[in-house]
Amino acid sequence: MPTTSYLYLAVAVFALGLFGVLVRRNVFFVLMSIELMLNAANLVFVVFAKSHNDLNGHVLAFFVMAIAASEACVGLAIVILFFKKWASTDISDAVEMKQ
Amino acid sequence: MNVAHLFFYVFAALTLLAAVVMLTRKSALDGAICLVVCFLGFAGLYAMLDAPFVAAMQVLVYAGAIMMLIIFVIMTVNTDESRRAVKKPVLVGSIVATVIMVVCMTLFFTAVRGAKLPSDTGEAFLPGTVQRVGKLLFANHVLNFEMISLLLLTALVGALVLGKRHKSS
Repeated sequence: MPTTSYLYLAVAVFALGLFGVLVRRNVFFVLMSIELMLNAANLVFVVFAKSHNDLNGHVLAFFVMAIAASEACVGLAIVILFFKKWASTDISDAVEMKQ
Repeated sequence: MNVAHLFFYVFAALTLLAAVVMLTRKSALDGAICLVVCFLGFAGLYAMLDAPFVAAMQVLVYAGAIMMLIIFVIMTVNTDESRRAVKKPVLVGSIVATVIMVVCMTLFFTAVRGAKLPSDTGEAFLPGTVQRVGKLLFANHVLNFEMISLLLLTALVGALVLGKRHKSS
C-alpha cells in the first residue's frame, strides 16, 4: 500500500478530531476528539518509520501513547471537578475560572 | 488488488466510519464505544505497517486503559442528558468549524500530494518487534524513557491532588 494512502487517512482522521473539538460541547467528546488527533499523529509516525526504514518512529509513537495516557488521567480528574462544580458536562457552562 | 490492499481498505473504512459515528453520537457512552472500535482499526493499520509492538500497545493502552478510564468517568458522572434541555450547537460556530476543517484538510492534502517521499532503498523494513523497539528504547532513548515515567508519576499525583482538593474544601 503506498505511503500516501496512509497519510490521507491520517489527515482525514485528524480533521475529524479537530472538527469534534471545535463543534462538540460535551466535555467527553472534546477529550475523545483530542485522542483521535493524537492517534492520527501516531499513524503518521509509524508510516514514516516504515518509509524511512527507521524504527525511531515506533519509539516516538510509544512516547505519544504515554503522554496521551497522562493527558487523559489529568483531563478526567478536571472533568470530575468540573462536574462537581457545575453539575454538567457542557463546556459552555464553564463561565468562570474561580474555584 | 491483493490481500494487503483489501485489509487496508477494511481497516481504513472501519477507522473513518467509527470516527464519524463517534462525532455524531449524542450519548458520551455510545461515542466512547465507537472510539474503541476506531482505535482497534488503528491497531490493525499498525499491524499492517510492520509495527507489532505499536499495534499491541494501541490495543492495551488506548483501547484498553485510556478508554476504560474515560468510560469509567462517564459512568461516574452519569448526567441524565435526556432529561435536561439539550443545547444545540451554535450555527455560526459549526459553520466556522467546518470552514476551518475544510481549509486544514485542503492544506494537508496538498502537502501530502506535493511531498517528496523517500525513494524505496530496496532494503527490507524489519518489523518493529518488542525486541527491536526495546533495544532502541533503552539504548538511544533511555533518558526520554525515564522522563516519561516521571511524567506519568506527575500525572498520577496531579490527578490525586485534583480529586482530593474538592473534598477537603
